[in-house]
Amino acid sequence: MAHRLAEKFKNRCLPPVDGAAGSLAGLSAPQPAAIMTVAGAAESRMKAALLDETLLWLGPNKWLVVSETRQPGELAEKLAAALEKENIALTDVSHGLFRFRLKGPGARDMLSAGVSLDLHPSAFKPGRSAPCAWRNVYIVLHAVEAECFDVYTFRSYASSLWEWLAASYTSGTGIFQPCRTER
Amino acid sequence: MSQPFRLPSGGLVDRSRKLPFSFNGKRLEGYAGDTLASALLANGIHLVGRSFKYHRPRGIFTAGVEEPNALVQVGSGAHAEPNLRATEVPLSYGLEAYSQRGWPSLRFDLGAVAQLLAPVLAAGFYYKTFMGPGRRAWPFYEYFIRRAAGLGKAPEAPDPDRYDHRHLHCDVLVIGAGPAGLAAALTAASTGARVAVADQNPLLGGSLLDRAGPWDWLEQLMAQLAKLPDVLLLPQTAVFGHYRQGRFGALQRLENQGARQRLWQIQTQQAILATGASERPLVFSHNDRPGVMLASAARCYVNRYGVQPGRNAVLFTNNDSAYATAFDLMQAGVAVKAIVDLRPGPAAVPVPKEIEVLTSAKAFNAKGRRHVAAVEVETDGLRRRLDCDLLCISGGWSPVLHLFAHSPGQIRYQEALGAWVPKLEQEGLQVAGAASGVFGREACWRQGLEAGAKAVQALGFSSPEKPAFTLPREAAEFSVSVPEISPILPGKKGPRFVDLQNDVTVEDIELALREGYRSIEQVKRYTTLGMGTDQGRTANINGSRVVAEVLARPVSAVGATTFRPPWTPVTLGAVAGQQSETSLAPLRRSPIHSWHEENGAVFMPSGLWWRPHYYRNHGAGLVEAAAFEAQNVRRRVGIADVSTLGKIDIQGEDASEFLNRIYINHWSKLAIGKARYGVMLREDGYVFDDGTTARLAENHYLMTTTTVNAPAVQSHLEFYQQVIWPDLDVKITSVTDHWAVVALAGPNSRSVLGSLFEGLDVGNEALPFLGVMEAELYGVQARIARISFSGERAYEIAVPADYGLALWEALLEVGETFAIGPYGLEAMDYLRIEKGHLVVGADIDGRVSPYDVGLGGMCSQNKDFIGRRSLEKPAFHEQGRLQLAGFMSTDGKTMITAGAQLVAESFKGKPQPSLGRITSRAYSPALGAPIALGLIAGGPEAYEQPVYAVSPITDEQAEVRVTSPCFYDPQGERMKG
Repeated sequence: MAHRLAEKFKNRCLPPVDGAAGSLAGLSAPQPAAIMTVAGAAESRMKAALLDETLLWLGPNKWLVVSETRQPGELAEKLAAALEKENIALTDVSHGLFRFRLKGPGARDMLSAGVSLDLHPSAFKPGRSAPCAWRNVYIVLHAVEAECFDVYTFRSYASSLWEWLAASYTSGTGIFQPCRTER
Repeated sequence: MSQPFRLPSGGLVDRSRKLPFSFNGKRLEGYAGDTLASALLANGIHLVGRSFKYHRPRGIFTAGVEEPNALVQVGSGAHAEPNLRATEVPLSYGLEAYSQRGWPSLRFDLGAVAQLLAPVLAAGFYYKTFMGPGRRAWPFYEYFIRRAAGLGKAPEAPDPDRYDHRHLHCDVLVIGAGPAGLAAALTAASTGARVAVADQNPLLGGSLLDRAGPWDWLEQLMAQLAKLPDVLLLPQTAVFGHYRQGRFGALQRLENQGARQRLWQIQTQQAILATGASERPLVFSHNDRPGVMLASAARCYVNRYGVQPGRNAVLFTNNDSAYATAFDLMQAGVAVKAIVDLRPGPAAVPVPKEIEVLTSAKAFNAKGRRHVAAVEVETDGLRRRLDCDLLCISGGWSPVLHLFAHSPGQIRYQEALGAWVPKLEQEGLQVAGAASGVFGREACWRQGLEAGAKAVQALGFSSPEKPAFTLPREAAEFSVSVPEISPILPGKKGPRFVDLQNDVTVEDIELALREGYRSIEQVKRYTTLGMGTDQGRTANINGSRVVAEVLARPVSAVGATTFRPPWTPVTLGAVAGQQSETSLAPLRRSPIHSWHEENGAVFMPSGLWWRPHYYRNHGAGLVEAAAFEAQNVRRRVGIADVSTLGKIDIQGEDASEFLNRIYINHWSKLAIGKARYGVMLREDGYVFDDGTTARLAENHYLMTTTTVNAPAVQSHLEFYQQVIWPDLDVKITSVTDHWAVVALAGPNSRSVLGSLFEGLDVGNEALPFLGVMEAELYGVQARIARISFSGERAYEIAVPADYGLALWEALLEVGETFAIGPYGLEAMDYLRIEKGHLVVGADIDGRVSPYDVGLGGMCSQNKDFIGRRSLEKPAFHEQGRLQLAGFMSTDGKTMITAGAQLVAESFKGKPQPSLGRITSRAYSPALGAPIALGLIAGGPEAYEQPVYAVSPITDEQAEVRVTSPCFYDPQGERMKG
């Protein structure tokens, strides 16, 4: 029985959206290896402490650190060591946040269905992030690069947000079609 | 012959693309580029509806958004959309349109007898006539009145169409794509500014489209726009509201796309309102006959759609602009019989000699039944009858100021136009073109250029370039100035309609004034002038004019009614957006949700979460299943998914002090590795939330909150930490979603726990009541807390959320030999009610102090905490305050209703004083009887008394005995051992 039980704990079981997300081009849900919040450190300290992790601003001296390669334990150790002199609070939220990725020329238009921020590249430059909302659901939005956005949501909202993203995806076709001249 | 009124050439329709459509079941044909109205006119159909009140035959009166008459239903069944203006509906393949009134048929409408009663059906008729008897009378009458009057019918089936929402940000928003709007957009966009251009029409060009071709300029324009760096064109988009600070709402109609309508929320730095002007009618007897049409509309139909709106036309005008229509009608082969001009002098434009011009002339009656056949004219005291099938009227032009006024902008009356014009400019907003009272193509263009340049310069862009676009040439510019002569013509030959949509006549307004209404707002509400889908676009100014004339005041003193959004009707589907097909609110799912779903859970909402209420295979119904589940916990062992409870990670040197201030009880002395039950109050002393909080390290706590209150508690903590006590070193992070938590409860729980965590000492010494332990489960981090809500020996096991399902299944597997079973919220309720444990939202409902529910003893006397001062309020200590108690069904059978009121006597319909209320109810498997918790005056003093729990709205009543709120194991031996 022990072996059977061990099997259960081998793999993470994600909210049921990833299968369907693959069916819409440009919409996927790649999960990072670890996500931690760090409270109590200034931006310069954070940047000095990070290696190849993504740093997202949550509030004054409050950060979301996203690692694609390090597991939570390893990331926590690294951060604790690098920020030893700071009075910080480290919290593992790896399983608490779920990530969607929107990639392609239509990504900005699709986000405009639920996000009220100005996402024009001149206003929301690649690399920028913001805690904001998809309608009334809290998200952290990150412009990874041009035409590529990551949306972090609380895990429990993932399935609902997925439905909304998919609905916005299919109802938004042809937004920027040029005006036709009919003669 | 198909389309007998279609010209052989000309217009912006595509004669190679025929579109079949139907009107009231009759099969017809039009062309791509038509509107429903132009296609009907091409087929010689003028009679399209019956009026609101008198069921008079009505035709197509305008060519655009201001249409008062031609309201149709498009589509049938669930797809039906009522109250659409035929003048705005683009013709599409197979379009089905229906007129909305007229029974048994549009041609022969029995409702038209209302016309005979017109003398008594004046304004206010219904309110004066249908009074009493009794309060029920009006709803009775209303049923019949609504059937006779009223607009279209909304479909009752679920809406199968899709709707979309989008946000849009821009530097410059140009509303209206006529000459002024285009000039502004081209200028502004040349600097690289982000420009959006919204227009209601499918084509850009605005009033330019109403002029005669050729249309080369249209292609040139599109090419020009395509070259600009950042322009978004929004055709078929009506900007319906202006909400200050650059915020606008717009509704876009879509064809052959994912969604049918799209609602835009637009945020702009600069707005340019180039909304143009609309023509006003003249008011005379029978001015509502089909075939009577605004002169500008007739011009639009011949030029833009290549349709003759009639064969023999007479024009009736008080300004020069109608002469342009006369020329264009002549060019299109329509015989123009005469121009009837109210003014004494000749027009300032040359008139072809074929056209007779009557000056100082008044049309006083339109003859004909279902279509105009002649117009009766008086000139120099002589009366003449002019036969015609088209009567074009023009009473001048009114700038379209709705969006300007929404924000709100001030307007003033300009005598020469006989209309309102914008008074003051607003920051970030300009009005350009005809909307500002400037008429003439060239003048509008120039003003647009200036507005566009000014807008981008205000935003710091470089100087714009002059657009390389040339306006289409026009033979002459026509003045729109109107004379002093009233557009309201005397006449007793028949009703003179001011508001066609609502059947409001000059006489109705006069009656309202006679009855003492003075303000234009009162006149509007008494007569319904200016209401409906068109919001009186063709009626309001003439209405104000009637009031001014009767009261002998200037129109400027009478004023205009308030302009309110929306400018055009907005469907509820568009307001709902994507949420018309998905859930309105998000649904939060626990990590174990899928298991519950697959195993027969009946869910219930708990905040945004869905939690298992009970499992279907545990019994015939809710009570049976829940009693079974609860019994299993009492006798053996059960598991429940409690992942939804709020979990807040609190760290920092002042974390203990912070909790001391938040909770009513003490925290500093809590040992590391132990948990404690805590209660927090609101500032006003009422109980806010509760839960157990564990100390994980010297400066590290994990707080749990109730499921429903988690976000509110989080905000509460953050507010105090950030605003009130920023000096405390406290860091707060929500970890609700990071942990999956399973409650394991029952006498066998320790055995199950021991089997799951092989080799871990989970004995009473190692893990005592309220102990917390870190552990590992097959390489996964886990935390075990010995907490009991059920009153049994119980544990809460937490693992990172993605392992929640594995934990649940593992517990079921190792627990099988101990008869483990899942239990839902109902069973959880039964168990905690037996123990007298309270739930926030039921027993703690925001109206109880800690003293009311037996928590007074927890209030620390030697520290401060939120709400402490409020506890001194005398009212909290009054005699006879409602206090917590238990209740047991006297007959041991009748369930007690949650929310029931407590009264002394059996309830037989006579009011009695309330002694208190039931806050939550259960069936107790331990006692084998229905029990409840509630609040009763006096609390313990009332024990053993019989009272009645009555619920008149559900017609339920139970005789109950008041008891202590703890029904089971009052010493707590079962959970501590």
